[in-house]
Amino acid sequence: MNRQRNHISRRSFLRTALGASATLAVPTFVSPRVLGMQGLAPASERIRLGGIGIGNRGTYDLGCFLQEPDVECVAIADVKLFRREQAKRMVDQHYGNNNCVTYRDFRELLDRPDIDAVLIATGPNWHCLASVLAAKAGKDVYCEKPVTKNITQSLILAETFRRTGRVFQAGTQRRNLPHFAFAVELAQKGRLGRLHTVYAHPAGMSTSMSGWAPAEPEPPKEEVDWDLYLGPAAWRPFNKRWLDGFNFEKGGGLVGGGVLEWGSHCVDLCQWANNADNTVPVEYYPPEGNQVKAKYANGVTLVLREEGWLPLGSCPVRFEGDRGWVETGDSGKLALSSPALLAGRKVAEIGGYPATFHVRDFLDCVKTRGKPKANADVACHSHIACHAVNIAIFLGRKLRFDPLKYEFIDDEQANRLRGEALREPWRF
Amino acid sequence: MEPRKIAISIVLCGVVTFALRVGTFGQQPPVPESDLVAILKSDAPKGDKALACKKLAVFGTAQAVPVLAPLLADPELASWARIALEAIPDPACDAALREAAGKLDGRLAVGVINSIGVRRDPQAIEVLTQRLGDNDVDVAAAAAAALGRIGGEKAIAALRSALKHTSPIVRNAAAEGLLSCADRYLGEGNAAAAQQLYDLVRSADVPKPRRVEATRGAILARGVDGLSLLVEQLKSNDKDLVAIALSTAREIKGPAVAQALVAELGPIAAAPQQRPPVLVIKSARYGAGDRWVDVTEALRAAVRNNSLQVEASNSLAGDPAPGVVKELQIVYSLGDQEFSLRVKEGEMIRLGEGGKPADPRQAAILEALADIGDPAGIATIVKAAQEADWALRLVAVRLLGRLGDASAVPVLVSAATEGGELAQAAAESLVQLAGQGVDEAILKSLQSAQGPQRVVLLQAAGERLLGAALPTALADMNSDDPTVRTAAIRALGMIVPLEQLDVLIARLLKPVDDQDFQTVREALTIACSRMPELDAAAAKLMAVWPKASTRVRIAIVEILGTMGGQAALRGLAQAARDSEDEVQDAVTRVLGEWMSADAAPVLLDLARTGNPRYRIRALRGYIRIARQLDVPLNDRIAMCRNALAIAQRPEEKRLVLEVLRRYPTAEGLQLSVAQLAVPELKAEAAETAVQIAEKLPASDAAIVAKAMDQVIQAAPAAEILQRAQVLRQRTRQ
Repeated sequence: MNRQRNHISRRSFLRTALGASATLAVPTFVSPRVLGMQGLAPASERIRLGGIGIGNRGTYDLGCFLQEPDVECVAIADVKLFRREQAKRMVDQHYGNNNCVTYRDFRELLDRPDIDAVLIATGPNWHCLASVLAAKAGKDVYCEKPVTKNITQSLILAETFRRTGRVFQAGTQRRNLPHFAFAVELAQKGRLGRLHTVYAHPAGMSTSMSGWAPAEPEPPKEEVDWDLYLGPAAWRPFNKRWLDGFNFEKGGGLVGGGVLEWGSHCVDLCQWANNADNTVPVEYYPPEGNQVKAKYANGVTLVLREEGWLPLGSCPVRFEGDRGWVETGDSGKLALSSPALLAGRKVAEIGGYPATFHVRDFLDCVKTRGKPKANADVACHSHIACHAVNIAIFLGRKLRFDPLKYEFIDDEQANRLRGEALREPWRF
Repeated sequence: MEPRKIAISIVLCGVVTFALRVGTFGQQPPVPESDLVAILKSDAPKGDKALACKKLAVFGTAQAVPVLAPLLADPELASWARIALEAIPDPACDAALREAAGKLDGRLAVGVINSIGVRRDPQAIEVLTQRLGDNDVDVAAAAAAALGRIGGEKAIAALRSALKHTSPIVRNAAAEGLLSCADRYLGEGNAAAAQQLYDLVRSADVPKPRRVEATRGAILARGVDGLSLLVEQLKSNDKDLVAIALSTAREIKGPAVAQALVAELGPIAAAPQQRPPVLVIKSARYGAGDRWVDVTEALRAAVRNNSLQVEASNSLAGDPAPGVVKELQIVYSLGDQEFSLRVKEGEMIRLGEGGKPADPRQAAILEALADIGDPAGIATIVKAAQEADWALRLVAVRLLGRLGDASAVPVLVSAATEGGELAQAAAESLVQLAGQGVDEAILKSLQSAQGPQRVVLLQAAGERLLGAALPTALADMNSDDPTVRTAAIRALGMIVPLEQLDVLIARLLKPVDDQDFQTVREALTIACSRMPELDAAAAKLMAVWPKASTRVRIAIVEILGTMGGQAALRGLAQAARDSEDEVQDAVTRVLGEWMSADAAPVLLDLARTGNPRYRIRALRGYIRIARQLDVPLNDRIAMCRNALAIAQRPEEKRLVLEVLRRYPTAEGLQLSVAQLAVPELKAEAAETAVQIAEKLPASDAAIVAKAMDQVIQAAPAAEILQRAQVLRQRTRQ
């Protein structure tokens, strides 16, 4: 039997909703703002969420969270008045109320005992420190990438979440997309033969980093809290050019760029393919042509290259073994050395790299206390690999790395670049 | 890109940009340390001093410390100075920080004390202990944190006292410090000392997160004896304590902790709730007009607990039709009723009715048992997959795929016939099961299973690539039950060897009905694509070409397109000369999407001499290879030359110009300039020529000069003309 079901009117839905139990037995579809609080799971099953630093990417992420019926967003914190009001409007419109509380200082949000989890989508300058402070305040954390500015931060992140037992998910959503997972499975299970090379696309190995710009009149604190915006970054006078957040102090101001911005996705996938979620390459080489190489202890070579990719969308990766290869990207499509590698499997082709599955993975783990796909240990190691590549680019020489001590071997300058002092009064 | 062009630059003072080029950077500082020190001593702008500090962090020595130390008292430069002083591995930095820690107040003191903590300077314990008693609680708290990082008996003694401080901020920092010391003890094997500190913090008047962290440590420090403490937390009504128990159990692993969790799980009993109608997503697509993306899998994956709540938006699978209001179209069933609906972009769809586990804590414990992976836990999960309420069964069924064994087969087969999310999860788990004897159990069940269970088993046998199921599948492909027949044909797609590929090919020629034809075509696509003997499979397909109908020939063309490889390409070249327009249409379409450059000669030939109706498509496929696929640069330019020679229309010539822009070469420049003579292309050709010329090396100056003369003569748009003149001028210098 096939029945065409028409749109029900907003009024008729409201009648249904008001008369129905918490879970509706009839199929229906409505504007999210009409569904409002009726669309939520019972209060006892909800994860109460706070959003910290909700700009462009954060708005997308927040939308993914709001879709989930067991999430109730109750607060937004942002140093920028415009953004926190915009995010509040989004949340309140979704629920059809005016309940979302805003804060200029995210520490007030963290102090609330009723909040279970936070979405951190500030600029990269704040990612790690805010995540650590949230964990120490007893919150589970979904944090946008890149999640750390340097190697030391990566280690602190992993250690903090281990010690606090909180759940962490880095915003590397490709870990929860079927085509990337399938490519990784081929590499991990030996279907490509002995894996020898993994390729990542850094999309720009050169970059301009933030530093110092001429002073401009500082806006009122309520409008933009410049001191809080700077946070752990070294002091400099207000200048609106730094306010984009996305690029400010990425990688600590000396190293960073595409290797970190995109590598946190594609190097992360290479780490996964090489079963290297708990380690990193042990040798890093200076750039050659349009590529940079690193080598793992198991002999696998990591290649970051700008060109030579099949047209499979952004953020491509390629894994090569002695019996075959696989390449995939954000189109959701797979290219294989032989279709035999599919072994008849149908891999769901989900293009557009949505974060919905990744957010759901996080929420499930909040409930079960399991480890999400991009947990703190995973993110720690993939970010260390990116930072080490950047340091090799910066110093322009081959570096050796001890993956147990997390130190460069016999290279003091490289080791100095592992971490950077936080501006007072911030500390981990 | 050359290595020297990979630059990391720092914007300074808004007007000066420092480009730290890799090739010249190396082990030497970009400027000598003495110059950096001189900047710090001078009246240079603070921005210059800040950057000098940053460089000294990498290249500085003890010589820089005397000029860095005074900056610790400068509110604007202290953070920059500490970047250097934290990094330079010289005791002079410690001395400077200790001295400052004794003198500074407020935020500046906090910063210096934090740096001492990072450097773990044991000589600073005295000054830190003093600052622990500071009236400024932020300074005192910083001192506590730093003492914790340094550790040792003196530091611990000071932190024990601070645990009784009147300020909760200081008590919290002291607890953090003590936890750091305890972690270090535990790491060094001194569990007794660690336990003492963890227990101290657990019972102290400190914020709850510190007590929770201490509880974890206290469990770990006790070893096996810590299980009772872990169970105590599991029994708690405090969700944070339950959470830390579950995460700590995963850290401990082993049979003892698994048994403790099983005991704590309690009896698994089916809740007396009526099962809701099963929600099944049949198909779904998102888009508008003629631009749609299939989101069936995305929606199926989004079904949770028998319900789906999702917004019709680009978050489903990107934006298939930018700038257009899209809709989501879904066909689904609830129980035995089927529905279809359309949802406008921005609206939310909510389908189905979920259940919930009678005891949500049981689901969390099952997940922990699965992560621990002990046999005692696995048996419990198998039991839950059979006996629990629907929602808990769903959890257990999913977990079985990860760690189940042969004992899970009948449980999963049964669940896989129940429809909806549970069935989908069970079918997936049946394929994932990796334990010993799983394949044998599936084959044995196949001997007697009927109806839906037989369908599930055939599907599992196929997806597990169970060659031993071949006789059963070959027999079942002629079953009277169409569902069994279809499952058998799909299984054959997965397992049929080359020797028996003819069985499927024969069925393609004489299918039972249209549905059967589609099923066989899909199975053949899979079979031919997965087998290592690609060439032999292609040959078998082409062997029936003479007696194949047009429908079968098109199917063969599409199968060859999926297979790829040389033999398939030869087959397509042959098919391209078929007398039927529909077949040629299929061939050119398939070749247009070919993923390797070896299709180029075939496409070029079709573009030159093929059916005039499809020559343009063939030419566009050829240009696509030049634009997108991995081809040596010389060959790529040669392909552009070939394409320009054949192309009749400006549209295709424009595509070639785009390729030339993407891969700038001197020859490409000459090819672009030649297109200046085509009136419709003059503007694009001029722009292309200028763009290429701007990227060519100085060694091509003569070619650039000549080309720019031609561009200037063609009188292009003002902006292009100006750029051409600049290039021309440059080549004169």
